[in-house]
Amino acid sequence: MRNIRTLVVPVLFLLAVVPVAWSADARVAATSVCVFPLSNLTPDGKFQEHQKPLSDAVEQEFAAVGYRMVPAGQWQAEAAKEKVPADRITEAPVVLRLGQGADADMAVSGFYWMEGGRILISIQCYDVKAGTLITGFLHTWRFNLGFYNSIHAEIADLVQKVVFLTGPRLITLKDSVRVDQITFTSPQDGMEVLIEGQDNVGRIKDGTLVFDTGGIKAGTPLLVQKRQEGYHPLSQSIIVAPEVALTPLPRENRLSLELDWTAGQLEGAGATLRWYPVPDWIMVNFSEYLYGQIPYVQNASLPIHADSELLAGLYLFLPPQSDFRFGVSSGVGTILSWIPGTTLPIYTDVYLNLLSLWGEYKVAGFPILLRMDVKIPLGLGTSLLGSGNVLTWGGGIPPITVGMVLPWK
Amino acid sequence: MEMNGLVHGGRSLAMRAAAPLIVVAAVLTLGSCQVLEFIFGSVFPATVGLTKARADLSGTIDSSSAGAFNLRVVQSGSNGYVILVGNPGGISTTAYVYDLNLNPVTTLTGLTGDGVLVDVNGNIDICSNAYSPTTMANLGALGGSIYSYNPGGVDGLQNTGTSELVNLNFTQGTTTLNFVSATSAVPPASWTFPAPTAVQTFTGSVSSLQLNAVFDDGNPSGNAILVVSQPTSGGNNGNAATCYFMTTLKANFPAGAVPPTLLSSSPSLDNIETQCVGYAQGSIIAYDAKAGQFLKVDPASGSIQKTFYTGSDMSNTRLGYLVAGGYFYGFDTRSRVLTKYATWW
Amino acid sequence: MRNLRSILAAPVLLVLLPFLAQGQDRSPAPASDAAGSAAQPQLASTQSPPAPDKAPRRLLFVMEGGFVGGPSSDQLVILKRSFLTALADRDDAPEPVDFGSKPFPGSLADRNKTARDAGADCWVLVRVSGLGSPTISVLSYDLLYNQIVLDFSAHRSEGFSMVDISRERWDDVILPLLKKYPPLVARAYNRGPPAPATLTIRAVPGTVVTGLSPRPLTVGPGGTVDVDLPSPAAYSLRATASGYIPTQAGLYLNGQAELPLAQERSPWLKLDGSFLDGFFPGVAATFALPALPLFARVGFTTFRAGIAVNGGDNLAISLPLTQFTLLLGIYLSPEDRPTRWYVGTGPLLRVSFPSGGPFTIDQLIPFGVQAVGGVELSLVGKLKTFIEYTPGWYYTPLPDLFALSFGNNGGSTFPYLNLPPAGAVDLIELRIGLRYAL
Repeated sequence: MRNIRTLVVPVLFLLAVVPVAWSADARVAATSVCVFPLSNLTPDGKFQEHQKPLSDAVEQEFAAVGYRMVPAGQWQAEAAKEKVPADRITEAPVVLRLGQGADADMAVSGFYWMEGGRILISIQCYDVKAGTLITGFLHTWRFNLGFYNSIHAEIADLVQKVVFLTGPRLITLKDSVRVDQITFTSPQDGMEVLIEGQDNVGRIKDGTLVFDTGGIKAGTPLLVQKRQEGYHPLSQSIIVAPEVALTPLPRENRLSLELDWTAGQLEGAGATLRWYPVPDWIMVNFSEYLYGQIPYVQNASLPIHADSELLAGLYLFLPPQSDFRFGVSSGVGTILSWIPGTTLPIYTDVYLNLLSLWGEYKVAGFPILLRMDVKIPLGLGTSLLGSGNVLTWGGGIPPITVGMVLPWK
Repeated sequence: MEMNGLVHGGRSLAMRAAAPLIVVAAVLTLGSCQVLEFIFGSVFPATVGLTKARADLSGTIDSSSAGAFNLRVVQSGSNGYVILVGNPGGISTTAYVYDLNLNPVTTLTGLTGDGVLVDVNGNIDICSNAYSPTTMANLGALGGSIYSYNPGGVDGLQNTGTSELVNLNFTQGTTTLNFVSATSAVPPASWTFPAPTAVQTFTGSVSSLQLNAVFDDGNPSGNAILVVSQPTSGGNNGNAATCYFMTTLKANFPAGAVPPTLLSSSPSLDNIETQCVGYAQGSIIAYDAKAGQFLKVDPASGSIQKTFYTGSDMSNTRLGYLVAGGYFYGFDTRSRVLTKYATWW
Repeated sequence: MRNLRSILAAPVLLVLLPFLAQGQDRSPAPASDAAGSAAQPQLASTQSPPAPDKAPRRLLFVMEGGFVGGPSSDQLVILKRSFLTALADRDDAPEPVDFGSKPFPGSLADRNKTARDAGADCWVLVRVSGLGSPTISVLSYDLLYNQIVLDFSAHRSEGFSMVDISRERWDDVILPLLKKYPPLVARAYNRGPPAPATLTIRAVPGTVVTGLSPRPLTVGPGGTVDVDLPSPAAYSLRATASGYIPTQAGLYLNGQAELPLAQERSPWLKLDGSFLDGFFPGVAATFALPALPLFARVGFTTFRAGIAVNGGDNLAISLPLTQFTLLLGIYLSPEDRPTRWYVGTGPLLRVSFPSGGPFTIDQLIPFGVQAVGGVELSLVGKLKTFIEYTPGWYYTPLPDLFALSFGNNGGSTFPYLNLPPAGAVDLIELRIGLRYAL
């Protein structure tokens, strides 16, 4: 009687859970598993002797649970056909391909690396039909007497985690993906954004602006207009995405300062104030240049000239944000000349600046300019140059100026 | 971390900044003074720095007449004058007289002839009258008229004793030089102007000559320097020509002792502006129109002693020099401005 | 005997327990259904999961060694595994598709195709170079939004230690990837393509609208035309109507029912002020002819006040001569372009107004014909600037005198060409000015 009593609890327990366990068993038994030998990635092929015990440990744990193990011969033939060495089956595409060739439901692969008394082991479990990774681990142990116990426990743990789940439906590229909201980012706060010239989305605040698109297709090209008071408006082509960066706008310049150095007036320097009635397009310049004529002979004096000029000009064609721009201007000026050490009066040479042609190139944000002026003296009043001939220096070239523009306001 | 562009921008900036520095360095290594003069040349010519005084005659002489005037610088003792003399209409001669600081002294009209010289009496003879060197008072008419056939230099050579060699010229189309030897150690009215005498017909590779300048070295028993050239047909070069510098004793003229080979044995220089030749401190000062520079030339050898880059076209400027040096004068026939310049050599 | 059985019961139960637990295990494992894959998994859990409210991105993962001094192929296997393990550890991470060790194509188009063929909607190329202090360069392209989203390099001061690789978190690469590829909310992909909506365009009757549909739309007599277009979407249209400046507009269609088009009438009259050959001023009036881009222009230029750059004394030139012109021309470019080209031709008449006398037809060159080719450039508002090349043929009853008047330019009369018996052509004539539309 006492013998039966000791067995009742366990038997009752078994009777309760057997049906459940039995169905789980059936599922496991129906799943075929292909276990590839672990690859030894240790340099120079050292510690090769651990490959078989480790690979066997994996195989044993899966077999012990009841999975149907695919015989090695089945996948070895496939590997030979693909010229993949049997001890180097570890990368996902290869594992999945060979697993499919061997008609397995699940494929297990891994590698190990030994160094300085420690061993790194990685084992992965793939769903061959779905072509995805189910679970895996990557871990380092001390290689000591207890190692094989640890590894068995770890693999057993891995086997427990094998569960096939219906995952969430993944979007495919065939589907129409919509973007409901575009967050515009820009370093320029206060910039106004318009979509296709019509919808005013608002202004950038704290670096961002959110636009409710209504669900436009992702990847659609859009033209966005950006504007802000005191800046030049610009358009930007964007692609619809949840986050779009907008480039900043170039500032409108109303006043700039130009520093000049002119050939033909090299012993001196000049400055020009540019006022733009139409910012960055039309300008009125007032320029002042002071220079002397360093004498080469003992008896000569040092004449000092002050060239004041008033010009109107405009940039041509290329917009303010271009690195290179060019323009033309024209105007009138006077050169005051004083020859010290003589009783000569101060001479005034009034001239007409027929054509001033210049080009500018932005270097580190500051335009560097090169300019040529065609100036004709008029011979009015007491003049040194008389009238008529275009002013030249050196070998008959009109004065060439090199300068730098400093945007001010 | 997302943008690598900044690194590229910085590198190309450095390369662009280096380029102009390389150009400047290359230019400076050329070293020659002329290159520096070229680089530091100004829209104002270098002659502005030499300017000491100016007289504007644009209101008095109009542009079409200016080319008819010669510039003469004369000194008698401590009195010196700058005289513009010319016959623009072909009817009568006008002379504008300035002191050496270009203060106007007087304007003389109705003269005959167009030459200026200092005679043995120390008077300033202008065209057909003699004038006091201190007051420029008219001392009376000469016995004839002094004519000038040379844009530069003097119109008379003070010969030994009491005679003057005046009205030097070449017979048109030949290499025969003529002159008049006048006795001027008499009151002006008594000057005798005999018929011209041929000095010599010069042999050489040229067939005709014109007289560009006549220089007196200041010593009555010294040399005359004649600057001659072939008459040009007025091509693109303007008045630039090959000029010969013929040096001979003044005494050789009346003695008929000027050698006919003088032309072929004289030094010459090319591209000299024939209207711009002068003489000061023993050297010839000429203007090379092609190079745009003044030249200081040794008349004996024709070698260039010094140069000065003018920075402007001086070919339309008549030049007159103080024989002793110190200053020279220029009359710009285009702007009609008379300028006193400090010497550049 | 009794003791042995009870001793055996416990281990048996222990062995069976895992299998009892397995059937009810719902721990989420990184198992996922491949896109487009037809087969169902063999083992399904007892409970079906709830409808997902978001979908992870599918990322084609490519890792390569750098061209010089990179990891060996075996080391690369370990680095890849370490990366994928670290990635799988994060919440809402994209699903990686391991590309393996095949060579990854070089061109962007090929790379995108490879990713699409593998069922991915984005790809990342991670290149590891250098051994002692590796540089990891990351390039990633988002196929959903058609743009490169990551392009940077991260530097490590220490090399990778293979045996300790499980500690490597790859934060400097994975965190940016997580930020750029968050899962898509269901709403983003379960709505299908944008549905068409009807848009009514309002414009001047007869306006032809192109760019919205394959065939041009014509606005009816009522001033409207309807069109069905997918919405929301962006469009660009061009509307042309006779007597109006063409309108070019962009449109973001998102629920609007109507689109009124702003159309500006073509100016019928334009006034010019210009300088001929730089310095002789003139004025003209241009009349636009309707329907066609034709125009008729009348104008005059006076030679009474001009500036000549001859280097002589007088800068100013004044001749008592005036030239009247009549031009018929055609515009070659559409009216809304900022740069508009045109050509034309017409007669000219030259008249003298000598001081003290009546006006006479100029005896030297009484009349001629000019051809004009020009371009108008928009300046500001209704003001344009223009430049024209206007060579002319001139009739002259005194050809020799005419030829002499050109002066001698080294023996040739260029730019004047003498055409005997009684004409000459001036090849270089340029007119520059401003044009204002009324």
